Amino acid sequence: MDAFYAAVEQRDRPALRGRPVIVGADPRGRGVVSAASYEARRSGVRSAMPISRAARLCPDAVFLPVDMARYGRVSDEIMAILGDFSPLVEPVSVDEAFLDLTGTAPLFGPPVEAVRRIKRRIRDETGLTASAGLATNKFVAKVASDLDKPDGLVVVAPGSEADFLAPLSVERLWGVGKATARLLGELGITTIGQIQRLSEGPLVARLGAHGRELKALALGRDDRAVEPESAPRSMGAETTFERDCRVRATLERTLRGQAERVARELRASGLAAARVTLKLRWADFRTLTRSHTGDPTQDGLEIYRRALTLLGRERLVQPVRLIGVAAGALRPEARGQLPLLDPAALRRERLGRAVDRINARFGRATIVPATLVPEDPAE
Amino acid sequence: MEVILDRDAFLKGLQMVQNIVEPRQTMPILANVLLETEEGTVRLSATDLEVGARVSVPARVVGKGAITVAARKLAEIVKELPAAAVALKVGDNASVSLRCAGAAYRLVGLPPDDFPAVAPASPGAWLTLEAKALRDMLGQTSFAVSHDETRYALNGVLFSLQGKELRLVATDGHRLALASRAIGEVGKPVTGIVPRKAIGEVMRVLGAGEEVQLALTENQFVLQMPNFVMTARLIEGQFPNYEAVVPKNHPGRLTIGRAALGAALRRVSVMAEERNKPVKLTLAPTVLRITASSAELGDAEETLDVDYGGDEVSIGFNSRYLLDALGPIEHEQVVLEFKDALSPGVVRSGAGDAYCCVIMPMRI
Repeated sequence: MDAFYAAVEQRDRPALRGRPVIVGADPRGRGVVSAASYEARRSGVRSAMPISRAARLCPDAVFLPVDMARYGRVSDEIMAILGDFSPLVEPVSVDEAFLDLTGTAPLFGPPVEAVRRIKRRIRDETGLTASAGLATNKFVAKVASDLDKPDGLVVVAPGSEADFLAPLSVERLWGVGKATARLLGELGITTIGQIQRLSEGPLVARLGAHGRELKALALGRDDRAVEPESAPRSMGAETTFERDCRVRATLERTLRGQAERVARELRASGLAAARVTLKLRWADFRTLTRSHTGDPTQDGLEIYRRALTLLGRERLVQPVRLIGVAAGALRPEARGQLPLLDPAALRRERLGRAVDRINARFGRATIVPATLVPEDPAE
Repeated sequence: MEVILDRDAFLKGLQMVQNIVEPRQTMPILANVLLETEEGTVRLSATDLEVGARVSVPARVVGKGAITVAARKLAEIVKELPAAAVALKVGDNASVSLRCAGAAYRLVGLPPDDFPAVAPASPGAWLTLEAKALRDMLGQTSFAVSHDETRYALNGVLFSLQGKELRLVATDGHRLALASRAIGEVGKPVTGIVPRKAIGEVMRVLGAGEEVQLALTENQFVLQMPNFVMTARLIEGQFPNYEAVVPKNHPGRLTIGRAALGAALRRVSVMAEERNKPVKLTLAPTVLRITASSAELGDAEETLDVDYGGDEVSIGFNSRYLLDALGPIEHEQVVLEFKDALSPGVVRSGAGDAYCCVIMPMRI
């Protein structure tokens, strides 16, 4: 989808159409841009940019908070449209999905016709525009979809994948971030075509097994299947502090709330997590993650305890800008080893479900752990 | 320093201490073994600052002194030497010459002054025990020690001396193993968590016949045998209240042949999912059914005739935990105690209550 969050806002509030719209954190604060309308992008605003910088670049923009529930509903409508064209739909994020159109020609005509119909239906039914890439595999299709935004359609004919990729920057390759791009730059490599001409030897010498994958991708080879409804690999919560924080009690309290949110999400999805990961970003933006793998859990207190153990091992060498906790190694709930030394665990499991039901009915914060109740200033 | 040792005695001594040395070291000298002369012996010491061991090897002392040399290299050399006298002499700059039959080595040593002393505390009271008894008790508990480094209080075996009983307890949060043994009056009750590494070393060096002496001080575990002493810094931390974990008065109880149960578990668990090897035990009057299934592999079932007349109950367990619990039992019969699918089961020896293993079920 094109500038998805911003586009939804512009669709729902006609006054915003034609104006720069930036969806994300409070512009006076320190969060990031989640989405920017094309009007805002003309001023150089990009998603994931610090919101304060966006405010400087585009002072006239309308800043809006993220309304995930609403975007989620629109996303469901879009995914349902995709589902009408193929049973193999793999959502990548709320506004992006892979679709395997193999064998759909008898129903919808040649794939390029099917794509046009999909784009038309999305526009007619949701009022939003989408950009598509059509190719023989996921990687090339993804690259193609990014090349002609908004409302684009780029088709890469079978057999022409390598030629199509050759002029593009290496940073288009999956797995090439700043660090790898710098390494490749030292070899004088900036375009995908240069990687195509390079033998595997020096790439592997420089980048290890990753070098071999890059070479295959550069040639437009990617044999990953479109996997419908892939189970989530992790669930997490992160908080960027208004002001860098070096008070352990505040960090711990923040983690406690995050652990509850993650646990609620796990329970809602019928999953339990074996791995708990703590993420800390220091004031200088260096980021640290620490993980612990244990018995699968979907209990907020247990997730908090594990994250706290990980936090307890870190020295607060700098103030903390961001803290987060993620649950990984997910598996179906109510299976696996029970704990021997925590006899209350089974009771907390039932408690968590009861609290979820109450909060679903009477509002999200009807019942929260006492540590998260704001202190009453009157007392 | 100049000494002459018998190769076999030297090797045996080195093997008793060299495992203490960690392959990777922060201090170079900790990769070394300390050799010191005493009257008619050479003392070999190794330490990683947590666990230390010292052994005396008979020797002809030509010149007194001390030196440290790379522990693993020295053991490797002595292992290859023929059964003959080994002459060891320290030269200038901590260089060590070693000769045996026609073989000659020069080893780069380090001066002994910086070597951290292996210093056993002087405890008020010693507990004397047969080596075999201690080894059995460690065998009954050490398998349950946790490998989870975040739960450091569980990374060892709890030694508890109280009344007239020595108890050893280990748990990893899924199962708990307890071994107890009557001893003489010990006076003041003491407890201490002995780290996993020391437990492994004790089990390795314990011989068959001799007696050993144990002591626990404020922060140290000490084990003495003739010509040998080992020390270990106790793990600081709170060991769980193990007595609350051992269920009392479980309604279900079953006596069954150890070998038959073990064999059935091994056969069925072949088809269990790889990670936790879950099996389901279903008890009904006169029959115990053990089943395992895996979506990818298929399933397996085995039934055993048992003397059971209670209610039908079905409990999932990690089959590895059940087999671990059966492992140290020598008696032909084992006793299983249980309640329901969410309560811990207990495995005991038919011989009595000196050993038990409490295992929390799995949900399958």
